[in-house]
Amino acid sequence: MTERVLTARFQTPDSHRLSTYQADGGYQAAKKALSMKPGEIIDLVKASGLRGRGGAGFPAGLKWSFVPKDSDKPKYLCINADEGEPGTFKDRYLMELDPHAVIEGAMIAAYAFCANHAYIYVRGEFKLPMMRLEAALEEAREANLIGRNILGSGYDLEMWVHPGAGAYVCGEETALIESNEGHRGMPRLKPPFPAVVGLFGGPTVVNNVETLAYVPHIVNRGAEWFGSLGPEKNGGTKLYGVSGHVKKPGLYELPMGTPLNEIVFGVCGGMRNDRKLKAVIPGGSSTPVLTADEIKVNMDFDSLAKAGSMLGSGAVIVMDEGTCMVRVAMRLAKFYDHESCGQCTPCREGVPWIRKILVRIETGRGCRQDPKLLLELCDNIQGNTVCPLGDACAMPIRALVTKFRDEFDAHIEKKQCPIGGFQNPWPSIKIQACKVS
Amino acid sequence: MPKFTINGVEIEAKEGQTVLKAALEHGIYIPHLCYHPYLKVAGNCRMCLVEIEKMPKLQIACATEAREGMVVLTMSEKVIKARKAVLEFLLINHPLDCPVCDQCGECKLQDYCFQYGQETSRFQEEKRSYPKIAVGDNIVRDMNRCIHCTRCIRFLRDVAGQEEFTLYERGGKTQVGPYRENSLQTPFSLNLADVCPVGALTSRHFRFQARSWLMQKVRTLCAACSRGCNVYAWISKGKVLRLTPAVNESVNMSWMCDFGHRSIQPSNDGQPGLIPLSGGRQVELTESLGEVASKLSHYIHAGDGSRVGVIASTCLTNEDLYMLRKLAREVLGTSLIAWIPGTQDEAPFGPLDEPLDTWFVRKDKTPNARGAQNILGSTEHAESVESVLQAAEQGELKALLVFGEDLAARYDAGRIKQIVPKLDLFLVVDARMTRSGQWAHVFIPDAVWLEKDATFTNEVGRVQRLRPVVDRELPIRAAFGTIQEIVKLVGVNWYFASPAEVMEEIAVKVPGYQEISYPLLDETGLLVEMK
Amino acid sequence: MIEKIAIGPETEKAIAEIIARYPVPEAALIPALHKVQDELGWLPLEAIDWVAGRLSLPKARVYGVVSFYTMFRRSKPGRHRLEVCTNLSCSLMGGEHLRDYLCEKLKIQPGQTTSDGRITLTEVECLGSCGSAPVMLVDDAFYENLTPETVDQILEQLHQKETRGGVS
Repeated sequence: MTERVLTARFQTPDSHRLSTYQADGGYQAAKKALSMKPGEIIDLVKASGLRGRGGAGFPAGLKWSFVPKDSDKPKYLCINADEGEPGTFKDRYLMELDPHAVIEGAMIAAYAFCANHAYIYVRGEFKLPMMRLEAALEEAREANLIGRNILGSGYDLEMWVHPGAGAYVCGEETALIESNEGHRGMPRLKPPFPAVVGLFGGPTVVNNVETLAYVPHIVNRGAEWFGSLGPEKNGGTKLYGVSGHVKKPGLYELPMGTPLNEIVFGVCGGMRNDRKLKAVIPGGSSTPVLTADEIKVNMDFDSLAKAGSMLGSGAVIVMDEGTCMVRVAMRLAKFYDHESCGQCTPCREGVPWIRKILVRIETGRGCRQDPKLLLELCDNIQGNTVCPLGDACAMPIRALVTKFRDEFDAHIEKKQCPIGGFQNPWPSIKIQACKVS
Repeated sequence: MPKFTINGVEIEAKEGQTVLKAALEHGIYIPHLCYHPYLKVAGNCRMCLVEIEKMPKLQIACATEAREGMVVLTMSEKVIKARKAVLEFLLINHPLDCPVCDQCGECKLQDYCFQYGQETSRFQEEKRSYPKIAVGDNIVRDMNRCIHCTRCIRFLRDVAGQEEFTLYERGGKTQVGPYRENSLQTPFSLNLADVCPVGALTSRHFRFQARSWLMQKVRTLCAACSRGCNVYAWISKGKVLRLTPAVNESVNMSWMCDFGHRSIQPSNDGQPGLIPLSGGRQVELTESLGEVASKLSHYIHAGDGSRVGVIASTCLTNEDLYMLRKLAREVLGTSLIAWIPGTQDEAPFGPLDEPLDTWFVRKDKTPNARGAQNILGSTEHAESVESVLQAAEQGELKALLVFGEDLAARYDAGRIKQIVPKLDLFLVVDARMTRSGQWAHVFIPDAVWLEKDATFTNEVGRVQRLRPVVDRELPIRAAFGTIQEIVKLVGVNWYFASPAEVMEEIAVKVPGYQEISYPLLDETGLLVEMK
Repeated sequence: MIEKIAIGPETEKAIAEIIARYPVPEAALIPALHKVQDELGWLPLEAIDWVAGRLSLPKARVYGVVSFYTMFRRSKPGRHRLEVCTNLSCSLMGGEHLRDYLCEKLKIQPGQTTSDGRITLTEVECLGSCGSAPVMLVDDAFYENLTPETVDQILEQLHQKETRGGVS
């Protein structure tokens, strides 16, 4: 068993309290960081190769280095805690069980690019994580770990929780900024990038919770240690959230690059009811599905990209042989339809169209040309939208249609779903389907 | 100045200019919907996607800065495919019934579909459907036709400064419109019909009046206030059906107020059948002209030319005003020529009261106060209306000639009524019948502003062309022609064949106008140089 | 329907504190709307007007924001809110079936409130609790690893709470 870094304190009683955190060496990294020059921290994080845990895998140190040093505008750090990618439930636990680690990491990051204001954008449904963060911020403020002249260093940092209100798209960094400013969460055109013009017009970095939670460890233990935990350019451990048809679903911290089959069949105890594996979505609902034959892949950014999918948020959704893949596609399309901001044409019009076609196929009203049309619509959306939400719909749908084409054709030919939608886990209870699907 | 190539042609862009702007300036058309030259860039329609070398994804030309050495393709296979895709997406929920849409013929979506669209629809599902609503007194919103380009929202927020429209709901259910009550406070609401590239926002006044391609479109000026907004007048069967703003960056960018938009109604409604009167009797124009001329001749011969008072309105054109000045100074030899400063609270053509003097609408609701000031002298220097009226009251005047103004409305009507019997001649020349027109010994119709070929000088001194939009048959003619006819009958021949020739003389005689001539005015006009 | 609203001093105070966290008051809009909704239970148009006035924002803009975010309720909910997730991870574990089970038991469709005004049932997207699917929020509290039996218990608890404490 490898070392647990981010989840080390999860089992400790009162892990969310400052006293517990400090007893375990908490805020030592912050002290060390404040004695360093900001540029040295950026260099350290760059050297570690820490990549963004939100989904895109962009090197965090590089992102910080894009902030112009000579800007006279206030700089901001936004902590992206708008965890909403279906399948993902990692940041929530970090905030609930180790909020000070998030705050310490955010403080070091803000210091590294000289920001004096930070906002933790937490999705509105996360009441407990928000309460824990706010309590932790209060503790930190009292202990002069945030606020004015932190620990006598001369560095000021204010940090607040900013609640979301139910919009997946706000996980996109420019939509998050818009929402943080009090607007509809509609992504901005880039350029300008947030590092130059971001929150309130100032240079802004948006970092994921998990990414920041790693920063204190890197400061404490060095870049090399971090790199040694995973394959080249994919350092560290990773939080993998496993859901679906496995025996032991849950959150696991494993070395970056752990093979997917090992996660499913080793760590998670294999398939529930020992049924056959059919498919795995490896990195959250936006990432292309892998078939049972494709799961020998290592779960890191580069290996999954090579396999035609993505690590995304590390959210593994496991599906057994009884799963209707048309139903899966329909459910995902329903989600993206619900979450499209409606700003740009291809996403606003294309995503609901894809959903409607999938509803038709699943309910036995599909046409022979529908699968081809779906693929063309995916092509017409992807790359043509303001933000990646359109891509996030197109990529998984394309993979599902391509890899499970026979299931789509079977629905169309038989004019019904051969499986009858999602399986009822409680077959002894007869449940009548309600009108909406 | 970055040089870059579009479709193999090298062009030079201005510093910081976008690919789309530079392309359009160089005559290379890139289809676009949400982009509007005078609104902030939104980049949401995705219609202007172009291929740029070394960039993996297509880029929107409206938001991409042109850079040195860029290689842009606007007609590559990839671009055309994306363009067709965007059009298909825009059309799936858009009614395919162009013939019954009011925007038909001037709809960008229709134009692009004609060029790039598919002949059949692959969309089998039901379209979104919303009821039409009236938004305020001027606008109808048909959400079914909306393409969510947000031009209307951006106009209200960024130009008009009243954020009364918003996007609401989200995703495919997103709507564009007002909050709560379907009303608008902005005095610029009709611009929404102008900026909407499709038939989603249309004018309640113009809807279904005429097809755009069956109308004539003439560039002229709005006469509803002293700003002098450039407009297109749209004519069908001799009637002006609407005014829309024409671009003039020095005056009105591409906007105009509701007051101006609607100023055509009274002039259309009020004019037909205006006939010369003499002593309340309908007469031929020649008879009325003759009557005035013979009386004026009589005064001149009797040495009473100076006992003629002249009052001019600031609705008159520069040419009208100059001819009046020439009549007074050169023919009659009177110094009693006064002009009435522009109305501050009253509409020039009817009861449209619009007290706002915001960013566009000016307090002075007449178009040519600056012209009157330049040609007849500032109010301090020129004779005041009051002194002309006093002279008339004291019986010092033989005649009072009033052009374009209803004295009974602007001054105490009883006082004016008492003045009339003291005069040998009370002449009213006006584009509408007024109370003082009815009291006049002689009433001669003037052409309305939409009929005049002339110029106005706007509040900041910009001389701009007014073009004849509608052409009514005699007896109605512009005031300057009426004056020339009368003077001719008096025995003085001025030989002005056109208003352009009047302007040639103005350029010589009126300080500041030396550079002004019709050919040089072009579309945007020229500033008078006042010391 | 015109709702007369009164915003209490505590909410007012909380909003004033929130405004101070940002360089522009507008940024406090979403947290302020949450505070008002927490007090009123939902956001009638009068509440939107009130918030717009408090932050000096155009009402249309505030309405645009309210209608963008699914957590802002523009109609009055029942006394208890059940928000059941039917996104992929939950539905693999029975999320859709639970939704249907609740519809049957409560005799309403998602989006509706029981005729006694007691319970509003909503179908929601991923709640970030996929490892303990299926999940549901009951008046904002997470209930995880649900089964028809546990759902029955939850409904029973809600019922008891009301009968014990009297109808609020």
